[in-house]
Amino acid sequence: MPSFTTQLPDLHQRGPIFEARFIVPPEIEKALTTAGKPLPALVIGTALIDTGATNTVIDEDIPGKLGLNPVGVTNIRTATTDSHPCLTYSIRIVFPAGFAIRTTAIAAKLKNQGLDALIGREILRMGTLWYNGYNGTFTFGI
Amino acid sequence: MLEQEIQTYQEHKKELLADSAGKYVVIKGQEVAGVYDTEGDALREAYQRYGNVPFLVKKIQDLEETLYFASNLITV
Repeated sequence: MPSFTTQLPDLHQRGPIFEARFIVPPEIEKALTTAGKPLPALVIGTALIDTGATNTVIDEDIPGKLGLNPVGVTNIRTATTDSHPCLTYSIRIVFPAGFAIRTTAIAAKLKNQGLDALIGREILRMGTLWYNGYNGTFTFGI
Repeated sequence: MLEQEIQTYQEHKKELLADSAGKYVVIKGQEVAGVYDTEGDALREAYQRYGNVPFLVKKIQDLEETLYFASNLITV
């Protein structure tokens, strides 16, 4: 089972964050490669594993950087907002151990929180998350 | 974005629910391109058919789902 472990001196303050890489889905990669066109540069950002998120969210700037178009619309509700429609995008997220997970992510503003993604429970349901607050580490494996 | 596709879905919702509730429909503009068992199958077919352009892949369900986020990190 591929997994990664991160130790953070401020795990309690910042939560389980890690450096994620965002890339286009395989169909777009294949189409660009077949056409002899360059792949968009991967986007590197900070992701937070968020057990309170039903689904993964990416910052709204990421789809544009990857040249992605929306594949759907989802209504979301937060602790302080009523139901609100957001566009969704098919994307692959590469974790520190090198494994990539494809998901349909919701695009919303996250940058002002210092984050580029919230890793939601549709991804967590595929694996195991160990949160060790005592020594400031977390491990995610899939 | 995707307003036309959502309108097309609403226009076809009754028949889609009758025949394919719980499956995933692909819609581009006014065209209902197909219905698939999984979201992954629907996405693969949509990209194959249309390429990297806006299209709608939607689960066919009577009540629209609202996803809840317990934290307050998202600005909408």
